[in-house]
Amino acid sequence: MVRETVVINNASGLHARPASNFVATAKKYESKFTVRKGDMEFNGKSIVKVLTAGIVAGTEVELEFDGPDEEAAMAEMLAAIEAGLGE
Amino acid sequence: MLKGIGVSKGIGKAPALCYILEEITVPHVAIGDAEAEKKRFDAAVAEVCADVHVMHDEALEKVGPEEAEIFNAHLMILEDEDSLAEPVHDMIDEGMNAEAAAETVFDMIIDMMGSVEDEYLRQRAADAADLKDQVLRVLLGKRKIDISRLKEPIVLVAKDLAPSDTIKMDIKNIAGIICQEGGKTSHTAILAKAMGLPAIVGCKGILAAVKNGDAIVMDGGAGEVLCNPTAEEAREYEERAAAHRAEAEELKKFRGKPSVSADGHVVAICANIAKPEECAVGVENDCEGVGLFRSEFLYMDRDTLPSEQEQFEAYKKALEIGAGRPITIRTLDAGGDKALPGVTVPAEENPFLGFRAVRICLANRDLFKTQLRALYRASMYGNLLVMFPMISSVEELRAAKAVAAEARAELKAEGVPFREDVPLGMMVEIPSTAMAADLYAKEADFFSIGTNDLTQYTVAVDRGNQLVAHLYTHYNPGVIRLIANTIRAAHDNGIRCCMCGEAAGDVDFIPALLGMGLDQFSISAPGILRARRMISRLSYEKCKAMVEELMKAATVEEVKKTIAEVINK
Repeated sequence: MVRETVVINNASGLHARPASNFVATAKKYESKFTVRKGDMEFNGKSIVKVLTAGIVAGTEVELEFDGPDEEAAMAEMLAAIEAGLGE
Repeated sequence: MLKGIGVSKGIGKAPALCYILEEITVPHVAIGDAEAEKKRFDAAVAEVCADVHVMHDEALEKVGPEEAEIFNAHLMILEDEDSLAEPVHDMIDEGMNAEAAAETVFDMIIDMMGSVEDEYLRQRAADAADLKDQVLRVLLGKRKIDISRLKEPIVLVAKDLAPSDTIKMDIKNIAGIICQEGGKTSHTAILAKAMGLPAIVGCKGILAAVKNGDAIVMDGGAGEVLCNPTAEEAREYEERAAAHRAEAEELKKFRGKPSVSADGHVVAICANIAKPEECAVGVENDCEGVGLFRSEFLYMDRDTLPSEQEQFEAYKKALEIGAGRPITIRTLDAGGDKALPGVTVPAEENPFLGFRAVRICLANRDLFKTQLRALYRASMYGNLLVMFPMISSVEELRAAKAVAAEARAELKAEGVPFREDVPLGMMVEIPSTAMAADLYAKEADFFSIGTNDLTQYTVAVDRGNQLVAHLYTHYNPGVIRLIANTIRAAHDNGIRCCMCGEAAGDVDFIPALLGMGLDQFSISAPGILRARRMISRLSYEKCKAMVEELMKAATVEEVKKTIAEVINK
């Protein structure tokens, strides 16, 4: 299991296309993907959950990948967030 | 044999496809095998996913990556195991049937997304509602028929077709259209004519008489439909089809020729189109330009407004296909019977007397300016004219021209190239405007008479209402006077007058229009050569003299008789 805390910094947060890219990136990997924001915890591979979590620009979230390809998944996810999730 | 109103000539022969949307109700029943029920749900989702994949690829190819992105969002919802498959499976384990579980879970998703104050999420909620409908229809075996992708030629049989249905039709596989409702100037009729598809509307009882797969032979000129015809009946229709082809052959002589009367008076015959691609149909039928390009197609059937770039590409395409021919593009004419989510107002009490066309554009200046900027940018690629629909006051004409001036100033400041001198004309389709045409002619660069609306407003008849539809006719003396007044006002002020309504393509009416001095006839493309042949047989001087007599005709019958005399002379 790997965990990282990051700040979502692209302008619209986890919304619209960035949310789609966030989920699409996670789905490339087998590992279970959990996102935490404050007390809230949800499956980061669920577009419905991600969209309705209300993660706006500047929100700090904890990402957790758990599975055989967790390292690679985390590396790509961090790079995608860093690059602004396609926004 | 069934009879309706033949609105677009031609013989259509193919199996019937009934386009009916059945209501669905979700059953709540006890289930035996939960695993089988889960599989049934998964299979239904997979089937809808496969459809969405196809639509995604088509959108990518035909429209662009932005539109295709919408379908990606649909797929993500369908593949969202956490929010969809898992809760549905859980409910099935608890004894619910697949339909009931799917409805419950989709409603939860719609609720979750719809309750957030956010435009994007609300749109996704609408997507989820659409997906729910699709999944339930697969489960219930009541799929929506997709007329945008047909495997083989069919005759489309429907109650009525909405513009959103007709715009996506797979034209090459539609041998003909039969609607149970509608009149001569319904959208189906206009579109079918533009496409050269045989069509019959107002065909009472057709849906009860025909079922999917029945062999249909239809005559779009006579308005006759045969269901499962005998060999002899089929042969008779073959003969008619042959006669139809022979006429088309004869009309070919008029290709590449100017539109000129027997005594040398020259006019222009142009095409009415609704999509850039139809410009090619116009060119194929030897149009001398496009007198009406309806820009609505760009705005329909989508969640977002078209961007300036997207519109620019579409207009540029039409202008390039036009290859120097004058192309008149009408700015957005939404409202009335053409709803545009987010822009038009739903449920107006009198939509045709309400918030539509230029009225909407002037109230949404950004939307209007985006279109005008796109038009000006495209003006570099051909011979563009722009016209404003539904002008009912000089103030509106001035306001529309002011927005055009703003668009020009912006483009100039940005250093974007465009043609300064794009003629800005207006539709004359409201009686008050036709009455006072002289006032407008001083400020517009050209007129285009829209006879469909002008007739309906002048005689106060809803063209779709079968009880009064017989009163709807451009042979009405009042309508004729308004047309004559408009043309005269245009010429007195040195501007051209075009007509882009159905009346311009009515060969029996052409002598009157020619005699009144109409400069340009804009009609559905397949009628162009027929109109040119009619004009070649007429004497302009005789038609002019006839129009003086015409003003004395008191009834529709007298009007028709007066005009017919000049044809037979």
